[in-house]
Amino acid sequence: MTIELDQKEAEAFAKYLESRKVLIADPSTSSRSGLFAVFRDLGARSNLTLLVNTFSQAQATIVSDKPHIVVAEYDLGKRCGLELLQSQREQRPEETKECLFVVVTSNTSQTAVARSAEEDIDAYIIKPFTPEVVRRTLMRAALEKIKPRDYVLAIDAGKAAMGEAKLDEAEGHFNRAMPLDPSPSLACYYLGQVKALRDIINEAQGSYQKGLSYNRIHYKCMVGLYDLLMKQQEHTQAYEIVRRLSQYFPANPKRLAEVLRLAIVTGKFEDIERYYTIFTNIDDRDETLIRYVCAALVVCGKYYLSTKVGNNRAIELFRKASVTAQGRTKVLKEIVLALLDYHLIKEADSFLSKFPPESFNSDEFLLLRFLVYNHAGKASIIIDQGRALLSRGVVDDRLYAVMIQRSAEADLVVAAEELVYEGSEKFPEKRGIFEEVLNKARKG
Amino acid sequence: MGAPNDDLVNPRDFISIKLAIEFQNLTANSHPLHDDVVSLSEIRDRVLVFELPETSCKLDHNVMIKLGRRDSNANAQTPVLFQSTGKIARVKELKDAKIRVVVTLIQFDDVSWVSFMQLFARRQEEITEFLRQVKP
Repeated sequence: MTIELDQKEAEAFAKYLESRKVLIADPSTSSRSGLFAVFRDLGARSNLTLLVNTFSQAQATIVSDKPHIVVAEYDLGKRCGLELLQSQREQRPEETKECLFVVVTSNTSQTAVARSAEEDIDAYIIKPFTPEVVRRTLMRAALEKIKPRDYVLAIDAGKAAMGEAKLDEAEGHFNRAMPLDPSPSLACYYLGQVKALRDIINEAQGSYQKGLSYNRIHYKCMVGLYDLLMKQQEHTQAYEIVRRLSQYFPANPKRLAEVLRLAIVTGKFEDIERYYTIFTNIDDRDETLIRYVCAALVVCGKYYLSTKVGNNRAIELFRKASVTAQGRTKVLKEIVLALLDYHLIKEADSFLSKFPPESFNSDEFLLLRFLVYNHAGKASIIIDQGRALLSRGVVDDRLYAVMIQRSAEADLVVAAEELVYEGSEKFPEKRGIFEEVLNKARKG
Repeated sequence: MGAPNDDLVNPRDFISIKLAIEFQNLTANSHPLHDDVVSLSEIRDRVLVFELPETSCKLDHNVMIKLGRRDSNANAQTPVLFQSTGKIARVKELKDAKIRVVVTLIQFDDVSWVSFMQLFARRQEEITEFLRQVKP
């Protein structure tokens, strides 16, 4: 901590705290107690300091008591304490400049820190904490809001003007902010926003890049530049930016999905395989990360199937996805369907066998088994199985297509026509396909 | 801070500092308690604050504390970073059959105390600096 806090600032902070409601949300009673003591020593009033130990209690308290300061553990039961930030902002939309959101947590990982930074929290304090660190961090965060610098004031004025669509005025404020900070990346970001609103794309891009030249990890400038490049469909450049973003702000589910999608769009399939290798070395795998890595492997595998890069390579990726998925049936379903699309029946059957036993009676599994057996089993058995699925209430266009084809081939013309009618009612956009299947089967 | 290397997913970004704790009541001569039931919530000047099961200790009991950093590899030996004898200076009853105890440290190595404090202080500084850089 570099800021020396003089007595005057401490008094200003105590005055700020005096009338503020504080909510401390932490499952650890000891931590709550310790934080309560620090806040009391700093000047918070005991009767305005609320202590809760669960996410739901915290959320309810934010709605009922509208605390100005929320101190939350990152890992709040099964929920993330960060999710409370939005609730706090909703309850005090006009007073965000007077409110504080502080994470106090045992989670010291960069993924948690970066996710918190993206949400624009005011401070992040790790446990076990020292009362002095809590004191100094809180005071610094609060003073930035109570006594904003001229730079911040100029940007706030520009943002307000931008909100009222007064772009000239906004630009003036942002330009005025530029010399007020040695690293005015935020001013550059907002200048970029003004240019983008005026549709001067090159200048907007230049502003974001200038912001990044002051601070290469400036989150808003990177996001601004990325959005702009995506809008222009500059996928290769966008991919590079989003990769950089992901290095500093890892494990943002939405962004990971974007990175993996862009890796596919830009044909960087080797990157996906490389990400997978790194992913396998992560001990603490986040559920969302698993989902996206699996999805990327499946999409990449599908691409390999479509381009005939080699079925073996695709199947190897599917194998990795199924191992990573650890029985997640959605991933296995995608793999089986992709293999069926390319008539790799034996391989589809092999992935079908990876479904967990508890899913064997599910509609999803029975439908997939039906679709696989359709390529190998006897027509009469297929029809029986299909009827069983329909009577179970399974609604799927592929099921109708197979049943129409099989019924027509078995000269069950009326049944086939009824299936076309029924299927078309449920999937009107597939009517043409169903009729084509019927006609082909009749001719065959 | 996440290392600015060329990899999208950096395994180190997912690692959180996890403490291995051994807390033994020397007065009661009881078996040591570990971090599955003990947590360290505060560090002060020559003082540690723990959350413990309520029957673990009483005021003025003497204790032995050993702290280490748990490796992500569960089978790996956890080297002791800091150890100290201490006296229970304060006990506060909490909910759920737990107590909050303030332990005054008595006999320990100053160098290892500083290095233990720095384990968290350094990470706190990194985090504060990261937030400062990404926000302005």
